[in-house]
Amino acid sequence: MSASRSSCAPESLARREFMQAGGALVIGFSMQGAIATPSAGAPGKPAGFKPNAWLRIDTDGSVEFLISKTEMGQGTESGMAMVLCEELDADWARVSVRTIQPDGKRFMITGGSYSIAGAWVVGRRAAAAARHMLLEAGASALGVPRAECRTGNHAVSHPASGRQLGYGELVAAAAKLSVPKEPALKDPATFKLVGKAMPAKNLDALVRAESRYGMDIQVPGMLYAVIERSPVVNGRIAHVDDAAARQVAGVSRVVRLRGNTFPTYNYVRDGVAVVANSTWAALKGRRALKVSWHESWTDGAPRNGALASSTRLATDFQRLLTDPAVKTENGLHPDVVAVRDGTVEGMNAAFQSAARTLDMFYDVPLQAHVPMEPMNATAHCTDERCEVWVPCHFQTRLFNALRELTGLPPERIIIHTTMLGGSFGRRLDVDYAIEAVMLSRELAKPVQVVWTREDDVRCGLYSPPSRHRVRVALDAGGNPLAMDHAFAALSVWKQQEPTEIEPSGLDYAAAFDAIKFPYRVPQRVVRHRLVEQTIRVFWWRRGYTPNHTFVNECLLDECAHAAGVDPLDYRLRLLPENQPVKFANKGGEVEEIHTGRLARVLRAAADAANWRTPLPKGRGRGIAATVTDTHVAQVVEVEVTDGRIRVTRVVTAVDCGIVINPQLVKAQVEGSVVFGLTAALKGAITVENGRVQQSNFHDYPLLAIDEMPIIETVLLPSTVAPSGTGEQISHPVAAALANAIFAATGQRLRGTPFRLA
Amino acid sequence: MARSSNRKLQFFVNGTRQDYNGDGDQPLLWHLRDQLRLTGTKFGCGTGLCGACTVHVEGKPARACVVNMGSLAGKRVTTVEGLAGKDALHPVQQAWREANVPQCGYCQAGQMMAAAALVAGNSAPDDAAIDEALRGNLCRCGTYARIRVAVKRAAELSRANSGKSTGRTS
Ligand code: FES
Ligand code: FES
Repeated sequence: MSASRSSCAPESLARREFMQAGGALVIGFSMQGAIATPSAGAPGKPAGFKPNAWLRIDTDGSVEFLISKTEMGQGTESGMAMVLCEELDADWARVSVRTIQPDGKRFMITGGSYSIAGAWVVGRRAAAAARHMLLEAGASALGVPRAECRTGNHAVSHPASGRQLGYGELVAAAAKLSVPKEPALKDPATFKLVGKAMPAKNLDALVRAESRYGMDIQVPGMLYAVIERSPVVNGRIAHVDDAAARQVAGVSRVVRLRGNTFPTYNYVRDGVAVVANSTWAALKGRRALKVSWHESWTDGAPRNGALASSTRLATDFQRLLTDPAVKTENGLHPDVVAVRDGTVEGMNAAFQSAARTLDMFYDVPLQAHVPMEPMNATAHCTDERCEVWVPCHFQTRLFNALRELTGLPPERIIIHTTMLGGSFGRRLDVDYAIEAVMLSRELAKPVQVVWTREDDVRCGLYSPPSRHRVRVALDAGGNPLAMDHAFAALSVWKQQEPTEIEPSGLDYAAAFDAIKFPYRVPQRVVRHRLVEQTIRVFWWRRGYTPNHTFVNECLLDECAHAAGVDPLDYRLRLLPENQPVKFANKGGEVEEIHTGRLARVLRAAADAANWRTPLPKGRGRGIAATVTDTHVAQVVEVEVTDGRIRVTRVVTAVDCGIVINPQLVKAQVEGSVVFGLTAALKGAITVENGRVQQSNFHDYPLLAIDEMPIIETVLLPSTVAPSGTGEQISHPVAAALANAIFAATGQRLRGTPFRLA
Repeated sequence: MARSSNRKLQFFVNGTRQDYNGDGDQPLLWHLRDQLRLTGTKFGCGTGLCGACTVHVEGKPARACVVNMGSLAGKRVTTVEGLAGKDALHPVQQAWREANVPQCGYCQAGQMMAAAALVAGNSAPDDAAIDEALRGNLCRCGTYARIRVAVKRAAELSRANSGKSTGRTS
């Protein structure tokens, strides 16, 4: 933690946000301090960054939290503000939250559901420091010993004399005090705000539809543009006929944009931009445009001779999982062991002595993020200055990309984060903002680039597809002796950050959630083989966790049924008793699953869902769980009639440590269930001839209100530090549903989206 | 090539008369957003599939992305900006606030407009009526459970507002 006061005006105060610091008390802290290493979903290196969050109390008593975190519907702002407000003993009504502007010195990313955990560890300490300083200032102003004073409700009071002074009155004096290094924190048992169901800070603006999303930005003199992009990755413009487009009323320019070459960190497609005085004119102009493309040509050299294809991908996956002699191209390590418990000999012996063996293939397809607000960005870039208004939550990535693109010094790059109409990981890439800046430079005018939904579905990034082969050896009692989990996948890191791959070829982002398996299996191996294709894959409500949760939780169910044991009992029987089980992640990082907490959520979900009560024919229940730092279990209830799957009820039990705002956590559960069900039941993205075959919500449908099950949530009480809920709760849904379908029909579905035979 | 079909017409937005002189093919959505600067109405799909752009035309819910300006002569359009009175919230907005419906909020103007039209014509909508009226309004954040609660509450608030004690079912 670092502290800064207006009086000494250190570096952080020079920033725009503190121009009018006046006599304010300001404490800066670094949110990444809470995270040892960002893992999948939070790429990049925060090392060496300056404070990226501040707590500021003004002389009028107003409290402002400036954070590097971005609100996109997950309740980050409100949750973090509640933690800080509680620790500061401030009045919630006088607390506001604002997102800082990136400046290259402060690491700005929102991802991996780390925000609340970070606020808890670091933000709380900053708020406590401020509270102690105010307390001390209050005591001396009142002329009484500090020990006789209390903080509460935005004031320092002296109960013995009944006198009190508001925080605003004390700020100037408090700002002159030194910042305590290890301030005592409040006892959670005394919390008044944390734990209460509070509305989100921006609720009023949202119901009045006054929030400004990226698309709502209007800058004086702004032009509108849409871009006809290469239909295939790495395609280059062959010919443009723009005569008709330029005749459309309102169209002012047609501009060729030269992208770069995949794979690369910030890949941008080649495109032809139609620039106009309204979105409609640009769209109409684009329709009149005729463009042809060189489709598998890159910088003069033919590459990836064949265009991307889901069919070929499936064949490659199958080959890699079934043919041990396969040689892969591009110097890939053909078979990388991610973890081995036991030995090769032990594994072989187990399979030989097994009473029964299972051999299963599971498939997870490509999925699109399709946040409701399509990609867009507004840029005004001249030789002097580059200003962008963008719905983005990896501002540091964009900042660095724009520095490289424009060559401008850091202070000439201004990124305004707008409200985000969802992301689910999509906006951790910044291609859509880079494009807008490229176009604005070309025009030397402000321009808003809007992606149509078709652009979003066809030219985006997708969840990494994978195929898994799991072989299990069971003993006579049905307990696993050995498990061999091999999977083939596309690799986000290979495509964007190849240096993240271990020298051994191990891709921790792809493998970690397979490694992380707490159930007792004496001989276990996880192996992977990575495939390259020109299909861009990316974090999708976290990275590969949805894939591995599906596999792990289905295979447990299959083993339980093979053993003739109830799937809940089977899990509980295989879980080591009430202990942390540790798993090694990248860079020596260790993550743990607490088996006591896991067993508790499993039991809680089962109890709430009447697990032991039989259901009539044609209906069934399935259970599944997942653990990040948050422990989640789900029971899905399904009804199958005439080959139609109807999900009737989803019960979720969550242990996310101390619950900051139960209302927001429940909202995350409800939303995650819908997200998980959409993936399990609805569409998938497929690619043929290099082209994504879906385009809009008719062929990439989302779950609608008339398909909603009853959703019930059990929040388990806890006294441990809070953990995130933005992603993980969507992960067990598909497995719980597959297991429910099996219970209802006897059909085992091993790939999403589910289709009954 | 796409020909510009220029049209001159008058229509009403949130009670105010507007003169339109422009491409008759332009969807209402873009006129509202780009020219009238009423950005509460959102773009989600552009093809009538998501409901983010839901407004009322002559009191009925309509997808602004597929309503062409040329079809609006003399018509009355209400957008989310015209839903509430000057200070007061519309019962739907009140109910949305009570139930903490929005997450990212992007789809919610459309959801609320669809709900307002439903509640105006059905003072006690049941689940089936809600499904029917709102199944075309997608929410990627998955706020449907709260939307259902809020629609029922909005109907209740509307009934109270109009002084009726019992609802009519349709
Ligand atoms: S934008 Fe009009 S229905 Fe989707
Ligand atoms: S609240 Fe985000 S799309 Fe509905």
